[in-house]
Order: sequence, then structure tokens, then C-alpha cells
Amino acid sequence: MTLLSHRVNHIQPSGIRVFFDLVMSSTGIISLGVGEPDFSTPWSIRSEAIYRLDKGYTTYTSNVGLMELRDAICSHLATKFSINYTPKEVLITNGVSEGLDIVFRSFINPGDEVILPEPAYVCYRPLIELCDGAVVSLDTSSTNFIPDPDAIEALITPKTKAIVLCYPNNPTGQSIPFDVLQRVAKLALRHGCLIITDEIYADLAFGDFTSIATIPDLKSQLIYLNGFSKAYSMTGWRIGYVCAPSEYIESMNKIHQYSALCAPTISQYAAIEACKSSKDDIPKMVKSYEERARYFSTFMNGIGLETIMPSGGLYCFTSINHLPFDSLTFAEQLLNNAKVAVVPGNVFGCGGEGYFRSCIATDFNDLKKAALGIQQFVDSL
Amino acid sequence: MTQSDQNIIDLLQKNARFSNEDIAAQLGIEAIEVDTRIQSMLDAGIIRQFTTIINETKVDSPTTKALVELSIRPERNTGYDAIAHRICSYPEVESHHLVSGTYDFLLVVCGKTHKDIAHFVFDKLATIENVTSTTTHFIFKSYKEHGVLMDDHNESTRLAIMP
Ligand SMILES: Cc1ncc(COP(=O)(O)O)c(C=O)c1O
Repeated sequence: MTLLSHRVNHIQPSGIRVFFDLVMSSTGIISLGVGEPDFSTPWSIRSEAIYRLDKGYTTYTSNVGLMELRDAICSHLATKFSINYTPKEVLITNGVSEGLDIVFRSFINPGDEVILPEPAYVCYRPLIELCDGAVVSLDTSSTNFIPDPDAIEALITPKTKAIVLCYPNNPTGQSIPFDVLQRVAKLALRHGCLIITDEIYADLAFGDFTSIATIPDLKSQLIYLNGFSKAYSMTGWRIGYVCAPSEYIESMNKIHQYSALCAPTISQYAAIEACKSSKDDIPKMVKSYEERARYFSTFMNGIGLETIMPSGGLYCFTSINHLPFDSLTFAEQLLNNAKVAVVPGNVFGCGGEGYFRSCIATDFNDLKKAALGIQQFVDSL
Repeated sequence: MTQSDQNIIDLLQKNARFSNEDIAAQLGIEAIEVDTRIQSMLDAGIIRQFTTIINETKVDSPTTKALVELSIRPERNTGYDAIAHRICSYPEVESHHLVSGTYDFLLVVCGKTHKDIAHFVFDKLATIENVTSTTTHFIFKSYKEHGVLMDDHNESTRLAIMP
């Protein structure tokens, strides 16, 4: 007899736990399996946090988060992405992770279907399943990882509650062109389903990026998530936000106030500073990610491993379809033979098998060594 | 100068040992083009030198350095430039700037010992006719040079694997 709930037992334990443990315990490897920036948080942000700590800003904030921060986020979204929200439409969360959790818990009834274009970041599926929702996966690997609106529409049923988008995407690095987003928005409007868009890598887009949140008609059916982890190198600060119509924010806050109370106060002050003063830091970091992504994808293509140049974010997604391995075996062999760690594509769901993900936010010399290691390994086969 | 030239400079300033191929792959241009552009920036005097930043505290015979402030009486026709040329031609002068404020020239002077630098300032700089006063600040410790922190406590705490 187990004391654990059916819900938690129902979550699939990650099939690659053993591989992850192996990487974590390995020494002398170069890891491209990382999921975060290699810059530390810009000093002005850290310094603001130190100041606030020093002055004793150590209490709770209001559940929804500091007004000044919600204000700063609205200005940032408006100036940078032409996305319009007011502070009442913003909820500050413990990272985008908590945001996604409360979004799914606020909208999904048992049996509701959520369309998820995959490969995708790993948290959506289990969080949806925790709400007894059903994930309806769309494999995007045959369309350069950009979901085809017609294919989305073909999956819609009367039970479809939402479509999840994550662009620039983890793990593929691809973004959806705006004309395609417009078609996705139209079909969501036509079928009355929600769009949940996780744009945590939007600030790290290499070129122009237009969000689906700029489409005014969609606003009442759109949930927008973003955060500070990736753009400002603040992964450990646990701070992100959800934007939605205010009545939705109020409902989501009913869960947030009991399960999280508020996002870390020091991180909220730091995030205000990030919005205000780090405008110059981001383009420099983005340029450096772009250069390294270009280097890595060019190198991989050069050795016959197809890799589409990402349009933003921290990752390259490389095909090993023509090699005689599945992605987990490839990753294990690469670790053993070349001392290079990558993330096997199968963890990212449908369409991820046959690929591996590399984090290009890696010191250039290490990135080069890793690329050479991959080349040697592939040549030896 | 083109944007491409600027991109090449930005990369070289981060790491002057990037090969032409590494630069080319990062910028999405051909290695031969990188070579041509670097050559033409060298010819045009835009790139003056490829050098190395050293943490002096970690080498066996560290160089001693001092900041030297000089007040100058400018010359009638040539202003500061001719006198500057006389000063910065000494190999001991690592860098030399004309600055605003209470003095005119700010120099970084190098030597093997404090004595070397003292002699250089007294014998070579203070004796120049247009130099009206000198102030010497010996450098005890450098925390940051050319944008690079000298202490390397940047041990990574990132998780090796995270989907
Ligand atoms: C697409 C995506 N969403 C959300 C997260 C989690 O971000 P946060 O640190 O804000 O919880 C990640 C982290 O890797 C991610 O890749």
C-alpha cells in the first residue's frame, strides 16, 4: 500500500534519471547539458539586492507582488515588445515555473485537453497531468520545429482548453513567424480556447521578435508568461510573472496566495533594478549567445549533424537521426567516449528522439573543445 | 569601418587568440574575409597591437607600476602634443593621457622596482623644461584591468545538466 497520492504516482519518473545522475557525478567533463546562462547576474542588480538586504527589506510583499515591479514590467513589455498590460494584469511568481503551475491549475478541469507542440520544455506535460488534463502532442520535427496552424486545428476537439506555445523554444531555439502566430491566434479565437505563451527566452531573441501577445483581439484568451531567469541571468532568484486579464489574475492569485504567498522580496527589488538599469547588459549577452550559437550550429552542420541556427535562447538542437543510436544511447556514449555531456532529445517529448540539445551559453574554448569531441566521437563510428 | 569590422574587434578584444575560423563561424562570414578585414584594420592603424593581460601578482618577477600626474606648461605652437611625444617615447611609459582636472598628463609608468620608477620620474620626467610638477602614486594592487577582474573566483555553480 502506498501513502502517496494517485496524482503523484501518475507522474512518469524521468526515464533518464540514471543518465542525469551519471552526469552530475562525473568530473573532468565539459557539460553542454546546462540550462542557464553563463553570465552572472549583472552587478547593478546584485548590488540593489545587497542594499535591500542591508536595509532590512525582508518581509512579505503583497501576494500579487510589489506595485513598483508590476509597473516596471508593464513599461518593459510595452517598450521592448509593444505588449500592453496594466499592473492589475500582472502577477509576480516564483519563476515562470510557479506561474505555469498556477495557470494550469486555474484553467484545467479533469479531462480537458491541452495542445502542446513538442519538442518542448519538460514541465508542461507533468503540470498539465497533475490537473488531470490530457496532453495532446503535436510533433513539430517535420516542420522545422514550427507548429503548422492547420495541424493544430486538426487536433482541436470540444474538450480543447488551451494551446501552449514556448517560443523562442527550449530545446529547438526556433521561433514562430508572426504571420503564423496570427493564424494560430485566429484559430484560438474561432474555437474559444486559451493560448498560454511562455516567452522566457523572448529577451534573448537574436533578431526581431514579435509576440503573439501583440494581437489585441486575443487578449481575453491569452496568458503570457515571462521572467528574469534567462534574460537577466537570474535563475537562482526565482522570479517571474504571469500577465492576463485582471479577473484571471485574481483567480490565479487565489492559488498563489496559499501555495506561495509571494515571490521572494529581495528578488522583487532586484527585478525592479533589472527592468530599470540593465537595458545595456542584455544586448551584449544576446550578441554573445548568438555568436556562440552560430559557431556551434555551423560546426555541427560542417560535420554532417544537421542543426538549424536558433533564432534565440541558449540552445542548439542537433539531429543524429542518421546515426545508429537513440538519443539516450548517443548521450551516454558521448559522455563515456568524449567526456561531453548533452541532453538527449527524447526528454523533450514527441519529435525529440533523434536529437540532442547543447547549451551554447558555455565558455567559447569549452564549446570548441566539446564540438571537437563530438566530431571525434562521430568520426569514430 | 563596417559593422562587421566592429564585430571582429569586439571578439578580438574578448580574446585575441580567436582564430580567423573561430571568428568567421561566430559571425557567419568567411575566414578569408576575417583575415582581410583584420589586415586592413592593422594597416589603417585601427588595431594597434594584440596583447595579453597579466595578473602581475601571479608572475615570478612582477612589474612595479605607478600612476604619475604631470602638470605641464604647454608650448606656444605645438601645445601639449610635442611635449607628450617626448614623454611617451620612453619605454617606461606604459600609457599616457591628456586629462581634464588639476593636472594635465596622467601616465602609467613601469619599472622593475620602486627605485627604478623614482629615478625615472626624477631624472627623466621632472627635468623636462615644460614639466612644472609631478605627483607619483605607486600601485599596490590592481583589481581590474582592461575590463578584466584580476581575482578569479568565478567557479561555476551551474547544474551540469538541466532540461
Ligand atoms: C521554456 C522554459 N520555461 C520556464 C522555465 C523555468 O523558468 P523559471 O526559472 O522562471 O522558473 C525554463 C527553464 O529552463 C524554460 O526553459
